[in-house]
Amino acid sequence: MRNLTTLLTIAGLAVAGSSSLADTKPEASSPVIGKPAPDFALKDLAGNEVKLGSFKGKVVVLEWINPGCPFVQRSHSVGSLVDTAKRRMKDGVTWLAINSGAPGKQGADPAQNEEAVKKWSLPHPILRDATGTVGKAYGATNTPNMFVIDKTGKVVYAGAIDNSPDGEGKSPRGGKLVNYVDAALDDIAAGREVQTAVTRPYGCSVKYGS
Amino acid sequence: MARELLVLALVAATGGGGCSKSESAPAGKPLAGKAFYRIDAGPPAACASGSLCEARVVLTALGDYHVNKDYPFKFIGDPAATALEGVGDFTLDGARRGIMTLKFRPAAPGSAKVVGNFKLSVCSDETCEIESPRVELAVPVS
Repeated sequence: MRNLTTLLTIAGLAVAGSSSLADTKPEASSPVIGKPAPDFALKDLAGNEVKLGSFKGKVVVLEWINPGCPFVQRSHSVGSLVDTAKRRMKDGVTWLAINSGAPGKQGADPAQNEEAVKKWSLPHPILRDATGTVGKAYGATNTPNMFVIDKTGKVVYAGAIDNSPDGEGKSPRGGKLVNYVDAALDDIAAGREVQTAVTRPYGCSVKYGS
Repeated sequence: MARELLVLALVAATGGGGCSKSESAPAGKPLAGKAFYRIDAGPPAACASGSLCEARVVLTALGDYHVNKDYPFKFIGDPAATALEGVGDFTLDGARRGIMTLKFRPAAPGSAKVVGNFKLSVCSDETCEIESPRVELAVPVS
């Protein structure tokens, strides 16, 4: 009987533990923040190779994209990604979107990516990372997931595009919409340290192959 | 004997997380839904005219889907129906279920019509979906 009580107590603790773990939100973190940006060479949709190293001395924004993800669709059609790249590229920022979806996964089809470029008038290339090597090197977990690299080649921002996890900019946490990439780029332009360096990205998971 | 008890204990432990695929969906006709989710009316609570009343709407993710716990769930009330106070409070009840609590103050006894769009998101390993179905329920008011 004592054995039974002990075992049921263990089971009860395990049940309680599993549900509380499921409800715990992990703190925002990034394996690359403050470190040199992992270098890469990827091909755009036209087959041209793009090397991160060729943008040395420039501020670079990396945007993990999946045109099949509803959060990406909303961010580009009504949310914080509308025109942000266009505005910032005018200021000399380099903006690269990267699709790390494995072939056959949601949003990985090149035709769907080409259509997204036209539909959202993207002024920047979408680079294909079908093996997911680059995405994993940056610790990209979601689409959209944003990274800002400063002129020294260091990752100074990693996380969400904004604080409105509906992708529409209509439900900002704290009541005021904050575009974290805009804020980081403003900090860089003003010669300040990036005030919000890491946030937790929201949206779809990156559709890695394995 | 001890071994059987251990197995029983482990079964209880692993089955208690609230996200088992064998979890049954509610029966009956839902208020709204698709292949990957359904919305049902929660158990009715007593509601008197002139007082602050609550109505509950239950979201259940179906198949391989779970409730997207990061999504800002909202219920946008229809201005032509009973006026709601706020956009509702959403609480998770396991991985596959969530309850939206709506507050309103009916002016007269009878039936209060709660109508609006429930902005929700459910995900599977392969994809996430964002939906905004129209939901309508009648709440008896004493």
